[in-house]
This record gives sequence, structure tokens and C-alpha cells, in this order.
Amino acid sequence: MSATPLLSVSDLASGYKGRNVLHGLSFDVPEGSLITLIGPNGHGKSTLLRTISGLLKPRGGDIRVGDTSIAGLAAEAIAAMGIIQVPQGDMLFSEMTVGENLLMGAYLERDRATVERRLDEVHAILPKLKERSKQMASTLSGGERRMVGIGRGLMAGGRLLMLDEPSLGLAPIIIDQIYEVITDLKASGRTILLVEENPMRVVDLAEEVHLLDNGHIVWSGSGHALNDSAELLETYLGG
Amino acid sequence: MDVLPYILVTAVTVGAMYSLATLGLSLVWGAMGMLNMAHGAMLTLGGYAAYTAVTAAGLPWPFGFAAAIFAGGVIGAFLYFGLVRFMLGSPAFETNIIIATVGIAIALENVILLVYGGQPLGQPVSLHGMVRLGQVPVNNQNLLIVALSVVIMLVVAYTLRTSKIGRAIRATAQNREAARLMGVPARSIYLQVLIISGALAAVSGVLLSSITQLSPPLGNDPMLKAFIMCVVAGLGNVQGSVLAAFVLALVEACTQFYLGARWGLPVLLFLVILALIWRPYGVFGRTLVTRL
Repeated sequence: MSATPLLSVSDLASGYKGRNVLHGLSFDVPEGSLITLIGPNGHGKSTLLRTISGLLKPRGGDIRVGDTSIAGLAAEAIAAMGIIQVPQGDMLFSEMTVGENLLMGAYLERDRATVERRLDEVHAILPKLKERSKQMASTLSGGERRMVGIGRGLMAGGRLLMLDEPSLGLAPIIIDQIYEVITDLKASGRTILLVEENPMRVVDLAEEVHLLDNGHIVWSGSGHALNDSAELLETYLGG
Repeated sequence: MDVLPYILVTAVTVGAMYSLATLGLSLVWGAMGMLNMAHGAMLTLGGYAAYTAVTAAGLPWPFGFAAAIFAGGVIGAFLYFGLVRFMLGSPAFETNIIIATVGIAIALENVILLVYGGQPLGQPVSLHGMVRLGQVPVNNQNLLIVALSVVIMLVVAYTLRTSKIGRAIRATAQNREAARLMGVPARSIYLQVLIISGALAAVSGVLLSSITQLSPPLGNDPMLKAFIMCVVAGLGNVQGSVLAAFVLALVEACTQFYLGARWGLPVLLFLVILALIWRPYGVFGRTLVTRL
């Protein structure tokens, strides 16, 4: 018998007013793994993360954390269970400093010593954030903003970190830096659910890759298997 | 006789009251995009609550403030549970809530009219006597108004800037979804903001009625002024609207003294029009609405 996965999504349906975007998705995120969802834009990747986080209510199916169903819970309750999303486009608190943004990530943690310890950890992983601590988030570059978003997510000390297209809109050299951070996070044993449009970034990293097309998972396999499936990539992602 | 010191005393007193009235309005707008048209009625209610506590219940005058804060907080909570809770998240929230709170304002003013009658009443929560500041005699009540307003504004500013709840309020204002993803219960934040704003309105109602008198439409004029301050400063900009309150109070006091009382509001509105032609997003506003 295998251990219960940290996150388990089964037959999940979700969408917006009058339009279903996800049509019965199922996948698991085992403890300590990095699972990736890839697929073209507009095929439900962000919708999936928004539904897991509780910003959208599922229309059908179930989402479980361990043995507990979180389907339909409020976003703040899901965050309190350690399911933390780093949303697409950063969504920083732009009129707050970098330091305040990070502190907001640890909003649910009451113990000051724990918050301080996490801040040290985040500064160790993302040293630039320490230098920029007093700077307004609105004055940062795109890459720095992305780092603050990731740092804020880490401050929550959650069990699962969900990253929504961390490479979106960044220059290749900055994307390299972001992926170095993600690689380090994986190496430190964190459980990560990573959503990406660009499959080449994840082949070496992911235990399992799911290809999302039109709200369905059309292919699942290891990162390396994806690398060998040139035809598949061409069909769904245009090469 | 040099009149300038007298004008300044009036301007500072009135400015303190305007800024206190503006603070609550600006806070609610900044935090949740809600223009609370019942803010003036909440201010009136605060004045009457203090009156009742001191006159009918016979409590010492400081309890008048406690009664006002309580009443204002209750109405703030009522606004949340009676209106905001149901309307939040609807696409036209920012417009609908204006209409809904206009209704609340009319209802509240008429309840006050029914209970207390239309005749003006004297506010018992008031200090007597005066002191001399240099050559200028100043009423103790004016000093109380200025001192209390400044203390309250500093406390609110400090809380917003440094405390955990203050950070959560600002975060929710700047990006509600991101705040929720961090575990901030946005709805409970809105409830707290409305309670705080109600209490602020009520205290300014007590102060205002102490130098004028209590009447059911008491809050209408400060509501209008507070709205003007908010717009001039850039809606939701709390520090800016406090500054605007003092500057406009000075302008109003000068105008009233040199041109006559009836010119106060027209001159004020004329300056507002000029300010908005000059800076359409408010003097301290930015192209994008920045809140808190």
C-alpha cells in the first residue's frame, strides 16, 4: 500500500460563470515530489491552481489534503492547511516594502521566533531580498518581483508550494535564476506543484509531468519521457 | 486687532474635525472600494449616543465618547452584516454600495428624528472655560478637539503602518486575492474596518456637536466636506486626505472671515474643481488608484 499523497485531485471540474474550463482532472502530488503541469495558455492551468487554493469553487470531483477534503473551503482556510500558491504575475502588495510583503506571507504564523527563522531561511535562499528589504515592491524589476512572490510563498512555511508560471514574461537569464531557486527548493525536500507553459525547463526537474489540453490531462509521464516525445510536444505546444 | 490668530484657531479646530471625519471615510474607501454615504449619519448617531449617555443615563462626560464609539462600531458592524456581506464580490459593488448606503443614511437620520425630535439639542460632552495662548483666548473644548483628533489620527496611522492587523488591512486593500492566498480572512478584515470607521465617525460627531449643536442633519455637512477632502487628496489616500482637511479648513476659515460665511462652500468647491483639473486623480493620487 502506498502512502497517502499530500495532495490528491480526483475528477475535478471547475470553471467560470457559464463556462467549464476543467473537465474531470485527476492527479496526485506525493510528499517531497515536484509535479509539473504543462500546457498551452488558456487551457486551465491557472484555473486548476485557483480551484485548489479555493479562489474558485469546484463544480465537481474532489481535492484532498492527506485524508481531508478541501473542496469548497475558503481560500484562507486552505492556506491555513499549508497549501500555498505563488500566483501568476506575482500579485505583490505593491505599495508595501519587500520586507512587509514577506511578513504578509507569514500572516498565519503567530510565533515571532518562527517568523524570524523563516525570514532568515528565505534570505539565505534569495539573498537579494535582504538588500531590498526596505524598498517598495512597486519599484522592483520583473525578476525581483518574482523572487519576492516566491519568498512570500515560502514565508508561509506551507506543506505544498504551488508555483503558477514562475518564468512568465522574464528574460531567459532571469528564468535561469528562478529555476536555480526552484531546483534548490526541491533539493531541500519541499513538495512543489509547478505550472509551466515551457516544457523544456522542467524535464530534468519533475518526477512527473502532466500535459493539460482543453481542461483534460492528455498525457502523463516523467520529465525525460516528455523529452523523448517530440511528436507529442509538437502536437500540443507547437514544437 | 490682529485677526489671523483667531482664523488659525478656527482653522485648526475645524481641520481637526474634518480630518477625523475624513479618516473613517477614506479608510473604508481605501480598504474595500466602498464609498460609505452613511458616514455622515453615523457621525450624527455618535453625537446623539453621547448625549443620551450623559443626559439620560447621567454618566460623566468622558463616557459620552465611550457610548459614541460603541454606537458607531455597532452601526459599522450592521453595515457589514446587513449589506456588505451580501453585496461583496458582485460586479457592480462599488456603485451599488453607494446607493445602498444612501438608503441607510436616510433611514438612520429619520430614526434619529423620530427618537430625539427635530429641535436642536446641546451637546453635554463639552469642556468649559478657556486658556490664553499668548494673546489669543482659546476655548478648552477647541483644545480637546484638536488634541483628541491628533491622537486618534496618530494611533490609526501607527496601527496601519506597523501592526499586523494594519498590514493585513493594507494588503487586503492592495490585492485582495493575494491576501487571501496568504491566509488573510478578507471578510473579517472588512468587518473590522467598518467598525473602526464607524467609531471614528461617531467620535467626530461628538466633537462637532460640542461646538455647534445636535440636530438630525448634523452629519450632512461634514460628510460632504469629508468627501471633498477624499477626492482632492485622491480617494483612499489616508495621509493625503488628512492634510487636505487642514488646508481646506484654513481656506474655508479665511474665506468666511474675509468674504463672509456664505462664500465658504462656493470657494471651497471652486478650488476643488481647479485641483481636479490640475490633477484629475487627486493632488496626492496616482494614475493608478493606490489605496492606503
